[in-house]
Amino acid sequence: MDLPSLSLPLVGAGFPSPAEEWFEARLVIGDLLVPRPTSTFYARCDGNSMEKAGIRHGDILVIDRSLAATHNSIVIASLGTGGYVVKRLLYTPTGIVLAADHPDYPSIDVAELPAWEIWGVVTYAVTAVDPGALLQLRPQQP
Amino acid sequence: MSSVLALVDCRSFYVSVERVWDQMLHHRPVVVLGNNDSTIVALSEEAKAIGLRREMPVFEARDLIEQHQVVCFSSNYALYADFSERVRQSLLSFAASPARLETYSIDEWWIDASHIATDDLARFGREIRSTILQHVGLPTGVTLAPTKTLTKIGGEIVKRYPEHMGVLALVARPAEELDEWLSRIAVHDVWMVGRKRAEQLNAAGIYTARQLRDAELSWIHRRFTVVTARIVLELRGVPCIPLEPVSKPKKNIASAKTFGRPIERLESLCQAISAYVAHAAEKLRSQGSVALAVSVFLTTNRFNTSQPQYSNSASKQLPVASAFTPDLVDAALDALRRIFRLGFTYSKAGVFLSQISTGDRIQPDLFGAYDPDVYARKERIMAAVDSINRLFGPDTIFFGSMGLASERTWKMRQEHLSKHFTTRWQEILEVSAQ
Repeated sequence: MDLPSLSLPLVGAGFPSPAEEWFEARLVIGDLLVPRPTSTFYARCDGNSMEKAGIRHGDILVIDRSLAATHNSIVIASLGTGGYVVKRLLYTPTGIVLAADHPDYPSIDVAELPAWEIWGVVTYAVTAVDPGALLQLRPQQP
Repeated sequence: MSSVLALVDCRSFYVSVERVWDQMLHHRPVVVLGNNDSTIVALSEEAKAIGLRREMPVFEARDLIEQHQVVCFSSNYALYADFSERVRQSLLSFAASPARLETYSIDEWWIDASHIATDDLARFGREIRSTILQHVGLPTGVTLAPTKTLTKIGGEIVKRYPEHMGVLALVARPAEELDEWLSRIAVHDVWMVGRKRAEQLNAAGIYTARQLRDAELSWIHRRFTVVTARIVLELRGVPCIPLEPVSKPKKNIASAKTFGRPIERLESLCQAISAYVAHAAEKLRSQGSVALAVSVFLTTNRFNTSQPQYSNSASKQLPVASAFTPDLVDAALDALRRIFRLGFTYSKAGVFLSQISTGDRIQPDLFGAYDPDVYARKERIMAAVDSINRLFGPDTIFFGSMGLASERTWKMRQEHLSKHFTTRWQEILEVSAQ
C-alpha cells in the first residue's frame, strides 16, 4: 500500500503549496552588515565629530578587525592615553593623520603620539531614525 | 603523507581578552581573580615577574598588588567564552574540514596540518598566529609536530624562548635541537604525565623528557602503565592519541558555586538553587537536550573547623524528561528540602542535571504524564525567555523562586568585572567622537 508522504508541506485540505518550489530565505539585515562575525565587534559613538562621515552621536558602529585600514578608512584607534576614538585615517604627504570630519575638531598627527594603534575598521553605522528605537539597548543609568 | 598537528594556544588567555578592551593594560601587570575574587586564576607575564602566581589567594597577594599597582579583574566568563568561540571559528578556515579541528580547552586547539608541505609548516603557523592576532586581537603560540605530546613540548619551548616569536615547526628542525630542548624539560612538565606518574618516573631515575623518550619501551611496559608507554611513543613522534574533533553533547550539566556570603536559611538556599538550575537548564536547551534527573548538593565550609560541619546530596527523578526550567526547579527544591538541616552555615551548593538525552526522543510514559501540547507550549515559553535574556542580558526574565536581584546575597562576588562587550548591547564599547 502506498502511504502519502508526511514530509510534503500540506496546506489546509492537503494540497501542496504552489509556492513551495519558489521558497527563498527571508532577508536578515545581519547578513548584510556582518559578513564575518568572528572578527566583527560593536561600539557606540559618543560625540558628533564624525557627523559628516554619516556617524551620529549614539550610533552603533560595526567594526571589522579583519579589514586592513587604508587611506580614508574610518577607524577605531587608541591614542595611548586610554580609551578609543573614531577617526578618519589619512595618509598625507607629511605623514599619517587621524582626522575628525568636523571643522571644530583638530586633526591628530600620529607622529606626535607616544603610542597609537588601529583597533579596527568601521564598516557601518546604525542610526536610529525613530528616536526611541535603540533606546532600550542604551547603557542603563545607575 | 605523514601526520602533522598544529597546537594553537592563546597566551594568558583571560588577561589577553581584557587587554583587547584597554590598550593601556599592555606591559602592565594584570591578574584575573576567581572564586568570589578570592584567588588569582590567570595572570600576565609582568604579574609573574613581580612574584605573583596562579592559585595564590588574594590576601597573600595584596601587598604585591598594591605595591606594583597590579590591575585586577573578576573573571568575565561570558566574555572569555565568546572570544574562545571566535578563535575556534577563525581556525576553521585553516583546517581542511571541521573534522580536522579539535577544541582541547577554552584556549587550546589542535588542527590537523597533514595537508601542508613540511617546508610550508612554519609559514602556515605564522599565518594562523597573525590572523588570530588581527581578527580577534589575541596573541597565540602555534607549534607543529607529528604528535599531540610533541606539540605540547613545542608550546613549552615557545613560551620559554621568545626568539621563536610564538611559532615553532618542530618537524622542520634538526634532531639535535629537539634532543637539547627535551633534556631541558622536566618529566612532570610533559603533557599527560601528571604529578603522581612524575614521582614514579623520578624514583626510577627518569627526570627529563629526553630520558623518558629514550627509555626502553619494554621496560616502561613492565614497570609502568600503557598510558606511560603511549607518552614515550608520542615523544618519539609516533601518534598514539588521535585528534578528537567532535565535541559530544554533554552527558551531565553542572552549576555549582561558592556563595558570596555564607547562608543559613532555607529560603536563601532555595533562591540560589533555583538560579543554578535556571542557568544549567539554559545550557541544556542550548544543546537541544532534556534531562530526566536533578541532583542537589550543599556543604558547609570544611576549612572553617570552628563551625559544625555538614554536607549532603540528593537526587530527584522527573516523571518525563524536561528542559522546562520550572519542572527542573521543582525537582531540585524537592531534593534540597530533603537534605537541608537547620543550624549550619552553608558555603557552597550546586545542581547537577543528568540522564540527558536529545529532546526529539521523549518516551511517553504509561501514565500519561507526557502531553505533547503541554510540552510544545513549555518549549515555546523557554525559547522566548532564552531569546529575551540573550538580547537584554542574563536574568532579564527570571523565575520568582530565584528571588529579587537585591536579595541575592549568595551571588558570586565579582567586584572588578569588565563589561560584557560582545554579548550585551547595553555594555558595548564606547568610542569617543569628541
